[in-house]
Amino acid sequence: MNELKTDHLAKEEDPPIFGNWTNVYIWLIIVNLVCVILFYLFMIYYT
Amino acid sequence: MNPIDWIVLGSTLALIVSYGIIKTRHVKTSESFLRGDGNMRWWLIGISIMATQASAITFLSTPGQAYADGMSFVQFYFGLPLAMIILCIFVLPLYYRLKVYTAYEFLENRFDLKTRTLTSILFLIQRGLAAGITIYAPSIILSTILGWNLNLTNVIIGFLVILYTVAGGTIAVSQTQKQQMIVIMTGMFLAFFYCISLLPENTGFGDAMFLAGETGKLNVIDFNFDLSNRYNVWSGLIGGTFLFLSYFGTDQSQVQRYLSGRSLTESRMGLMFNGLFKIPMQFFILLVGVMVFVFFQFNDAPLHYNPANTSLVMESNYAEEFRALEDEYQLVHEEKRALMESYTALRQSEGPGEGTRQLGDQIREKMSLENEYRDQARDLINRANPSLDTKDTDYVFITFVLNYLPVGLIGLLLAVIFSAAMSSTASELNALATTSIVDIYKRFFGGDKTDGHYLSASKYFTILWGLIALAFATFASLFENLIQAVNIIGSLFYGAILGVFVVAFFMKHIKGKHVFPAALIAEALVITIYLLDVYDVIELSFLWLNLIGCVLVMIASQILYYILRK
Repeated sequence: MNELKTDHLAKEEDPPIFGNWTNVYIWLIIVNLVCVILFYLFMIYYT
Repeated sequence: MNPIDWIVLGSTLALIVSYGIIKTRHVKTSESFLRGDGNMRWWLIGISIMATQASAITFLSTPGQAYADGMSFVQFYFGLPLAMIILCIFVLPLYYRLKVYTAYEFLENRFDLKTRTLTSILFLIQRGLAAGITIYAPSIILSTILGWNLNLTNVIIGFLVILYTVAGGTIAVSQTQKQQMIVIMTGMFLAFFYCISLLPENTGFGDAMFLAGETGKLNVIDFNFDLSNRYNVWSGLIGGTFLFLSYFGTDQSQVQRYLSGRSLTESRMGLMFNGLFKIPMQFFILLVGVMVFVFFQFNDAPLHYNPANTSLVMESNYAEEFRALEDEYQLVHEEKRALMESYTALRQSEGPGEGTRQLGDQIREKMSLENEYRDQARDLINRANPSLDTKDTDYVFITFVLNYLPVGLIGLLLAVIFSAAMSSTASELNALATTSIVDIYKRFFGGDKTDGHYLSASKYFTILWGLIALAFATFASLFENLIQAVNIIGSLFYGAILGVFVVAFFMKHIKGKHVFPAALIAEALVITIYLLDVYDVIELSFLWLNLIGCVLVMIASQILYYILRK
């Protein structure tokens, strides 16, 4: 069990709904960053 | 409670349980029972993961937390999307390739049997106790406030969960969680909008938010790096990432949810779903709490929200003092209400300026006075009976629900609490049974047994763990500090367990003979650090223990590797 390379597995898979997996991860981070920015603006606006 | 509420509550629960049983009549193999048919779609996996994490106490405590301390708790979840991405890249493909039933099964493959057994036993102890608390925590609140029998409430929740979890295993858990999340989100949205509609005529959502901001409840983001502050951006991003990595990557109650996916893609999408919706969901629940806070600023707010504590102090020698305190509190509350009305009117007519600033200062002054009275009330309760838990924020939301929501909606909100308790408990029982069967029973006492035997054994283990959880929930009422102890046990062990998995994934030269003693050493050090915090030698938020435990396992493994190599 020393061989733990897993990259090839992703290639065997169906592509995800939104482009490749790296794009999905980047989008997830962007959407969450937008959420945090919106929370920040929300906090600033109402305080 | 009105009969209509009973009907809404009873029929909602009956429908969910029957749906779970009917939908899983086809479950006839142990594979199907423990891992599902490998047929789960991504959105169902995502819902199932969220429903497992959100227990009843999430919907009772979180609004109460926002009421008392504001919305800073949302930062606790900032590391969750990062954890989801790391799991998708490194952990999921491996679990899929090895076709494991449990996360611990992988550890024998990578290290040895003793490491697998150690982590699975740690999980069984920790999760077995936690399952009892998942049942007990909402029961104690509901029984206190509604006068229900505590043990009967425990038994009802436990019995309903056991019924469908035994019938359909992991498929029943996921299928019912879909219904439960619909009930939960519908109930919370209705409660939120109804709460806004109950505000005074000239106070809208925006006005309510300005008042919440003025009183310090909208502290959503805090960039100050402070190790002793539990909720800031950094503790959430760093400590939270490690906590969620260990929870979602190594806790079987979560691993089991995404291993039942149709394919690796579906499971990854399920985790992405969780990473996308979890933070907005927590934000919303906290916002409900803030709205309830604003609501109570314009309505009669009790000095202390736990009615059992209030009755007890009223029957003690401190009744007079408590009553006097209540009168003073109400006086300040009235003055503050008038100030808030003036603040809203001034803001609407002239906008923000010197006038609103001055009113804001006065409101905050009154608030700190109110908090002082609430502290004094807690002190009186404590003097009347030192063994009582005086924290009353868990009772804030349920007090609002029972006293101000209309008939029918009360029943639905109680169904929300029951559904949340059942969805978490079902995942826990399912995971406990799976680990008991796969990592202990089959591994040590297996052999030439039929699949039918393992299916029956899985069902018996589900019943057994259900009964253990129920017994623990019953005993929990006898020991006030038990819940706290269980939470501490959880945070003490998670770091080391995660460390073992991190070493397994990223330090390929490390073997079982290095990581097993390293885990024990790290655990001892984590406990020492925790004790130093308890005895005030150092000040450290418990979230950091996950990171420390994990890093210590990695360092100790590496050191042992060098020592044993020579």
